[in-house]
Amino acid sequence: MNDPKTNSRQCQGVTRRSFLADTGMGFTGLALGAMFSSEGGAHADAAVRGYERPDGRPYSSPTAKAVIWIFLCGGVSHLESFDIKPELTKYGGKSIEDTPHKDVLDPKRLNANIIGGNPAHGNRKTIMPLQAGYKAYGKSGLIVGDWFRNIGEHADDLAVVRSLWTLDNDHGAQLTFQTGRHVREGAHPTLGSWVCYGLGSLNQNLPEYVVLGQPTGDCCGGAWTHGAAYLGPQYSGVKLAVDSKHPLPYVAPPEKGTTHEEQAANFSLLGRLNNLAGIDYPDDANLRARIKSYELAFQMQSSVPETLELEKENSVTRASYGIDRPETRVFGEQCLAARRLVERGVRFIQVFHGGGGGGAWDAHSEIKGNHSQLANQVDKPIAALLGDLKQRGLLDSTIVVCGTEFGRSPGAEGTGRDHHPHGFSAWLAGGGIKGGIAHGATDELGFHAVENRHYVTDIHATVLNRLGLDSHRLEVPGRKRLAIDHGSPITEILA
Amino acid sequence: MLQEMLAADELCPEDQGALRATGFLVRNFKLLSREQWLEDTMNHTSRAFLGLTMHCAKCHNHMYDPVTQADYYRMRAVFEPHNVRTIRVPGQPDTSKDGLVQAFDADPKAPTYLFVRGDERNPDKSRTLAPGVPASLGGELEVKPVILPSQAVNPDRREFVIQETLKASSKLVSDAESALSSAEASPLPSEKLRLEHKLAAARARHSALVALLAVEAIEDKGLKGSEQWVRLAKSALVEQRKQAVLDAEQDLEGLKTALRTAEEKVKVLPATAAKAASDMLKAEAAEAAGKIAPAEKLLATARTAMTAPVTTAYTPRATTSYPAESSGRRLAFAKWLTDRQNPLAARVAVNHVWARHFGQGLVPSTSDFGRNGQPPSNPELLDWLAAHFMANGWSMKELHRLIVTSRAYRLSSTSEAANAKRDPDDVFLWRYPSKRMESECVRDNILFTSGHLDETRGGPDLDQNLALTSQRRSIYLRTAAEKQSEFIQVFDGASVTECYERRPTVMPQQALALANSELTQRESRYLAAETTKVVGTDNLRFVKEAFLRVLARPATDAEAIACSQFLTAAPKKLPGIVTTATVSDADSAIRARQNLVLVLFNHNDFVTIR
Repeated sequence: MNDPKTNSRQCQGVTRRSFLADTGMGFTGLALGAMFSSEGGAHADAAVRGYERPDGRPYSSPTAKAVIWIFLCGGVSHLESFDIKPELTKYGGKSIEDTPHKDVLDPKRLNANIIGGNPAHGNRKTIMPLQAGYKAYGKSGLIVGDWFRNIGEHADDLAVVRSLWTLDNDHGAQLTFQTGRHVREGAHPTLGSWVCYGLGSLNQNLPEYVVLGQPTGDCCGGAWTHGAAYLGPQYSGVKLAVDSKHPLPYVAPPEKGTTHEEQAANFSLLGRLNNLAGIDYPDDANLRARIKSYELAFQMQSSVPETLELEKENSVTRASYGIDRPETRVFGEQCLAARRLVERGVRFIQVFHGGGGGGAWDAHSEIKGNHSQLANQVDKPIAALLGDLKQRGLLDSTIVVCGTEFGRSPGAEGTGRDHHPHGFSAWLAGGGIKGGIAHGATDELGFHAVENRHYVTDIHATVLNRLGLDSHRLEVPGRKRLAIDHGSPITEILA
Repeated sequence: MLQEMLAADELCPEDQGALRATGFLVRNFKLLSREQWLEDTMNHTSRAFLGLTMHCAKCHNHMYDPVTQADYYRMRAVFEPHNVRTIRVPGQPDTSKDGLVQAFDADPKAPTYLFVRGDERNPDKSRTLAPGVPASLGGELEVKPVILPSQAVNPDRREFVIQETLKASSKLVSDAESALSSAEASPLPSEKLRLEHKLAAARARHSALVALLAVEAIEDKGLKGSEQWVRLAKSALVEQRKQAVLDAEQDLEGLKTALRTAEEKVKVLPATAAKAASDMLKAEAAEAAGKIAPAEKLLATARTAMTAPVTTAYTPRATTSYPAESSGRRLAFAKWLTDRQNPLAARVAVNHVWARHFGQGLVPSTSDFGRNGQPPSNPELLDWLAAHFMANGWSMKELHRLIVTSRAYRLSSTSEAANAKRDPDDVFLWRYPSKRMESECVRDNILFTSGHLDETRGGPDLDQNLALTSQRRSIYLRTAAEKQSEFIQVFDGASVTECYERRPTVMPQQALALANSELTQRESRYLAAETTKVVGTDNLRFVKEAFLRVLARPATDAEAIACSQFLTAAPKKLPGIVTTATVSDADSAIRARQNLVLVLFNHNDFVTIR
């Protein structure tokens, strides 16, 4: 019995001496992420028979260890990027009903997978011809639209998935692409959080899951699109601004506050005091986690700004990312920062482009102007990132994914294209991904995904597979996941 | 309290304090989607009070689920009529600055249909569903419409609103009077004339207001149509006609002045002036001239109206009025919920309170008592607490007292070998399970420790960006989508729409916030100075006092030694030392003491409750 008056100070299995030894000195090569435990969740987890929290080791031999997850907000036209459909130009101006492809409008097919879609979108029947040219690239002859010609130059490294479909015909699908769930179902763990939950960190100085760029607006998931939901916020993305002066809140003391030398002395005393207090609570996992968190925090104060000092890159590299040009500067900096983060062992980097509101790529009108301008902002930086990673030998161990919430409609909405959840594209490249292939297909109009159809979580499963993880084995007791949440790896694009 | 959260507007519509409780419903408000709004209302009402997740039933009957789809829509009918409004609070006429946001029935007859497969585009209009509760929970609703008092129907007729309106109107008159008297000496006759018109109009408007309020007062006494009412209504009409004439005169005079001014400016414009400048003045003159004829016409109409026969057809005060009757559905639901026979509400409530004190509920899944939730660790205790809670008139205070004075709550958090082996997760509470403070407490505790916490209650919310500088309690910081304090969020602040469980984490960002934020840096300096005032120059005494103040416990010998060493080892002189109004940092010993207090704010024990 534990009497309130006389504290009993023994503990099963852990002596005071071994506790001090465990927590006294820095890191011991263990996966940090796996050591931080959620105070709320730890008890419940341990209570379930047979369940063990991931220990940071992959289940199978991995072909990659880090992920750069680029997300273009608003819905990029698959038709003018990675799934070119010449039939659209052939039938341009005609109603779909007057073409041999009118069966795409079968209401059963249109409503098959859309949950609570916004009825305002859809029903665009007048075919809009292609708004951009295209050509074949590389040995593979992969066809890419002219707006993305720089990425096209890396065609032989890309695996394009042309047969994606999603649940929502509105921008809530931005969240769906990250978690697999419809926005109405609230927060669920994002792929990045599963990866960090499963594998932990690769480094001792930086967060394991970093978010760059402006994420989606609150309408469309907001913080959920880089959150961890029930896995606990320690697995959620840490937003960093590509600004070495102010990369994250409280990264430095205020002006005239504690100096670096004082802080070193302070943290040293703090470690000593926390260890002394820990003698009475040798089994307190949270206390151990807090001691570790101060060690990481101390490192982050210098490591985060150092990582984001892009001016240290030479001018050739900076120019290749387009940092010297106004239209590519912002996204170029983010892509270059992503490379520097991968180099320093950050596990998952999520780069948003065009976030906020419905998303910049949402070209309901003037798609030609909208997409050519936005593609101009991202094409060169993304191509530079692929080239840079390859040149440094990092592409073999890093997966780059480029996705969007849905495609755009073959039918015209004035001078624009409408939302299109029935068939769209994303691409992957890097460690363990086959290059130069297009997998799956939409019909001749690019309307429905018809061949090797994949829900968005198949991309998640593919990434997890390459990292040596299996989402079924990551499942948390009491949090039932459905088959559609897990998805299946797209084996055809695995190298 | 539960009844007030769901139906204060029906239960006690004149109690401004209780109406705030309907904020529980208000927070689900969604401007863009009534569907999402009602869905969230259903979701949170069932989870918060019944510990039931009902959202599956929105679309279909589930073979394992005791709540049918029709049950779902019957319960939705309870909330179908409600909406939200913001009414004035004393001292602030502008409801966008401060106001009372409350739920009320905007459309007591709003019909509810079952949505086929939960799709709002596909309502089954063949039958309207009456309000009800899930059959599997037993009981039924006794819905009686509630006749609302005039205060609730016409919130602008509340006494304080009337008094403040009168006061504001008087102030306009006195302002106009003093403006005129200070312009007596003005060389511009047109300016004086303008102010004379303004004063006359303000006086007329005030007289009309007084007359209108007299009519309203008679109406509120139920004497509409009486002889007295007729007399007052006629007099109100007369005052309003006078006001119309004076308003029209003021407008016309203003336009004439504008025209004259513009014309004069054109005349004195030097010949070298740009054409654009003269064009602009000419356009101004033309615009004023164009408006003069209609203004003259308005004035003529107003003057003619003065001669028309006097009737009671005055124009009522521009106030918003609401339905005189509320459906009574939410009140019936609240009564069903808190009925002794209801098996769930009291258990769910005591479990919530328990969870806040112990970090985990007796049922760990506080918002899900169903099959997908977790079973209670101690069902007998849960039942006993629920029964005790109801027997004590649902007194939350009594419940808190009972829990915090219990033996389980007062147990220490240290480990014990035999127990740890048998029950490693402390399911049976052989020790107090230590937990981290909620984020609001972390911030409040820093301010409280330094003696700076401002415990003022109530008032409008504070900008979330004031978290580091304000001394008000954290609950007053704004928390809305995209408007949440960074400091609060770092320590796992609550989500905007739900807070069934707090899941505190341990993250390096928290370490940075406590080590580097302006808040802890400033308060540690202050507290070091305050402590020094008490203990003088003796370092050991300082350490002991600082431990008591910051960690609320004495320092152990080992801790005292470590801290004393830290203070004496501090460098004698530091570059870039801080100076503030209250603390002189010239002395490096003071600086070392400030750092020691900062270290204690970062101590694990500072944020941990054991």
